[in-house]
Amino acid sequence: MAEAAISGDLRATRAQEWRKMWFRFRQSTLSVAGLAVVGLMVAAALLAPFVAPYPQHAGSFVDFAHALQPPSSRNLLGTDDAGRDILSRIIFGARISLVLGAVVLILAVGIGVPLGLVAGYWGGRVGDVIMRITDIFLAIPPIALALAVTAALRPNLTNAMIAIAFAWWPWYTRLVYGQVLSLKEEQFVEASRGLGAGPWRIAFREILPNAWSPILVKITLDMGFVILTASGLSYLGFGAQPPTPEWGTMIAEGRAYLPGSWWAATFPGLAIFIAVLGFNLLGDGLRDVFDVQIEQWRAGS
Amino acid sequence: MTRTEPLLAVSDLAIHFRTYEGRARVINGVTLDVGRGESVALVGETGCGKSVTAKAILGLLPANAEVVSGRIVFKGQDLLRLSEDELRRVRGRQIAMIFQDPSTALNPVFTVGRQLADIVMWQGADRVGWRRPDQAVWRRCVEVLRMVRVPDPEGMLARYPIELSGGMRQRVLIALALIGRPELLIADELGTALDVSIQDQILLELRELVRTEGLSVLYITHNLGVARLVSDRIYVMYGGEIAEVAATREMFRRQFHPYAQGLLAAVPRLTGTMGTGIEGRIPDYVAPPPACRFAPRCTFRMAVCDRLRPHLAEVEPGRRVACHLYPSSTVEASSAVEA
Amino acid sequence: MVLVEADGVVKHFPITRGLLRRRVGEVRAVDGVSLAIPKGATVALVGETGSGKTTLGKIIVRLLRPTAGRVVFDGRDITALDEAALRPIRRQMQIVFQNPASSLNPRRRVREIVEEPLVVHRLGTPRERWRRVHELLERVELPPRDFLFRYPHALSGGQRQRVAIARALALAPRFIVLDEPTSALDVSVQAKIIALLRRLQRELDLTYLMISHDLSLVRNVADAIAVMYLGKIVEMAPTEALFARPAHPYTRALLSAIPTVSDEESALIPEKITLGGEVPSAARVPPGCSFHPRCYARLDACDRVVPDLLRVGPDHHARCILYDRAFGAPGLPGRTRVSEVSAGVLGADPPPAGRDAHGVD
Repeated sequence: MAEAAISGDLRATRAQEWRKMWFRFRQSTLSVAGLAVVGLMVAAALLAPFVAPYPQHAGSFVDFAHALQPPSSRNLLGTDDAGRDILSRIIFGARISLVLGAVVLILAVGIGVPLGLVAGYWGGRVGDVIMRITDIFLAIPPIALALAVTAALRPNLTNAMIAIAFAWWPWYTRLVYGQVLSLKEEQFVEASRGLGAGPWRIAFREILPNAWSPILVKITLDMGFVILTASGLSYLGFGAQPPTPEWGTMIAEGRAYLPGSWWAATFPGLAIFIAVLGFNLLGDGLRDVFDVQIEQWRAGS
Repeated sequence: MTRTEPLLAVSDLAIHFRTYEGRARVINGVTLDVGRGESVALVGETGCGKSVTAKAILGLLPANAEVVSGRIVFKGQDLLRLSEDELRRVRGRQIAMIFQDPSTALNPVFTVGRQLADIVMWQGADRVGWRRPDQAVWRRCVEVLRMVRVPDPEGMLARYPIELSGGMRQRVLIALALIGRPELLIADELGTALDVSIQDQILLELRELVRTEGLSVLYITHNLGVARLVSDRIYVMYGGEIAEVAATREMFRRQFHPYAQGLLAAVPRLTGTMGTGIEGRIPDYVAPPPACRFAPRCTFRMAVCDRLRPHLAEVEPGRRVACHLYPSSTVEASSAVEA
Repeated sequence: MVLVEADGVVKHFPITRGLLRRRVGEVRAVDGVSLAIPKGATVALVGETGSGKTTLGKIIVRLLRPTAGRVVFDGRDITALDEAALRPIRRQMQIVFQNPASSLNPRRRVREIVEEPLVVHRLGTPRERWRRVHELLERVELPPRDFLFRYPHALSGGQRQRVAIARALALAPRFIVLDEPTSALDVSVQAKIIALLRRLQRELDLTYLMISHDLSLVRNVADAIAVMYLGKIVEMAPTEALFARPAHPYTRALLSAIPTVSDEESALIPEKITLGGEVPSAARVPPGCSFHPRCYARLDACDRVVPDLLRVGPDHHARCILYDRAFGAPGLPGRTRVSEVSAGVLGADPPPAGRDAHGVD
């Protein structure tokens, strides 16, 4: 009985903490704007088939009669060279970009974070080897690396994702490595060791939860940059291939018609811009919230 | 400003903080003064508001702080009414702060000499630009390092903080405070980060220096022993208010306010006695006790303590207490209920 | 009955330089310490920074491995045991750290923090652990309802330290090392925590090793005190004796540096001694007696002779040649005119030559 009452308390405490974090987040209008943009993107992606005016234009569809129409009441953002509604394609492109970003980051985090944790906590020869490999990867610019990988494999969206993840994981390793190095010296880690906790427990249950905030912030910021990189790859022809409505691919297709039919290349570009901006603002907002938490803890308030 | 007027007079200072939980009424009518050539200690535990008071004097309050009322008069000027520019001319030059933690208060990438010289150069102008320190500046730096008993002051100019021991860094911090020739020093928890033998050395030297230079000092500390060593008068602060003030000697001989009594009793003595502390916790500044802020923890609590705020009033020559155990504190007419 | 013993413990940390990690020197953090802690007693380890007291404390609970020497717990030599063998023993000895703000994982709630030892050692069912956590919180005077789900940053210093103590008690240890348990706390909170620790010692039959820099505090808490300087014990005595007849020059200097709050205390302390110089680094320990460069009672021989711990009274030892018969045993000038070194009232014999004396008995 007492237990039920107490877990109610836990829920209440948790709810209160979320409210507090939200309050702090709300303090910055830009952060809220970022959240709104990202929210909009996610909504568009989820509801694409229902929200897009011409969902069938998202795939291979041609209607040369209406090719390269300027923005009008019929096609809010105009049509591209195959007569497809740009707005609908952008909405479906949101879906692609988000999935792409998510997959890439899951892979990058899944590889990078454990490696960084192992290198940081256990150190020694293994740690050195891991970090040297990381350094090598970090020395190569992400796009160049991704290009190399996709050139080796067949250029398509899936391979683009793999390629970018390949280029992205080292940043997480390095981030986590640095975090772990300093957290390792914290007294609560020592206290756990004093209790007899083994290294695996300490690494994953003591250190990692404290390293999450910068990782989370980085993930959010990275979403934007991954989308940008993927678009770059697609633009160069190494990522999503036509007719996939990926924003980079759309720019590549529309580029030839600049400046006359400017809408074909500009709107997808604008979409990328807004997406990256949104994620950046959201990431900054999250960082501010987390920093305050850490600061409060340190000040013992 | 006459001879007998205090150098620094804080009157009825009230500061509120805007927090997520609401308005925290932290400083609730603090009155204290420091006379010329006097060393005053402001003693209190964590959360009593002594650091906030010090920051208010220097104009270093955080963004969410609001000075609701009161005055801080320094040499005839109300510091709270000054503009940021005017305040900057006072800060560091006429009032200087000796910071708490020697290991973090010094900029690690500049030499000691550079950090000292920077302050000297600031004295002369409102903008420093890229002026390089000249001989006169370096001479002044060496002079002040000598004052704080740094061995080999000339050599010290070229050293980096990281090369120095804790005690040496503390001396440099004191030098940084003195170099502007201030009249008032504010020492925030001086020596807490140092070993007791070094702390003792430094406090005694500073005390001597203060005497020869005729400086006034406000020591902020939670350590009663330190306060006894260095100060002429002690203010005991609790919950954002002054509980008791008396000459140091008198304060340690006898305490009138129950908090001061409890505090002193809790200090472990070399003679082998140690009290059991004070029950309860510091007040919640967002919803503080209605009248006396110590009442919830006080063994002598009476009905009036929850109704009327005790006035800081004189109970014997040189001693003032804010407690209803003493009739002079129970003043109905001028009971200022908190804003 | 001795519960914990350190015998000739040495801990050197190598100083390395360069890519190949060449050993260029060493930090002699603990330099030959022998100490015996009787069951049920509170023994204090006092010293300033660099004295090695915290390192010694950690070695005793095997958070660190000594470079040389032995640590014996309840008759068992635990010096060289590996983690697996140590595990059951860890349940009997615990450590409470100095800074409660950093010894608690900021991302864990109080409940998880206090429960952790039980989880790590796989004790009890979840339900039983729940109950034990409740019980522990109550024992440290924190009402469970209010505190179970809080994060450390929502606690005051005193409350955090209580949580740390509750965690240390979870496995029902017999021996607890308290590393400066109250130095980060206000004086009135310190008094309450000390009262709590005293009560717990009585109720749970605990043995404490208290590490502190505060002589006034240990005066009120400890049964016996060992004063450390640069990795060695320089004086060791029952509490009363240490304060009544401080023998080592360093001890006297420390006592005179304490900012006291009463005239009675000032009267206790002999002449004002201000130590010159700084504490040398443990990487460059002075030759002979490590204290000699700062010693005001120095003899010529002090920079050559490394003194043993010599008996200066019943159970009272000091590492200083001023008490060595070979140099005339002049003792310290001033108040402490130590009586003749002789076989003690309690029958403790003088130590055999060339070996450190046993500690307090």
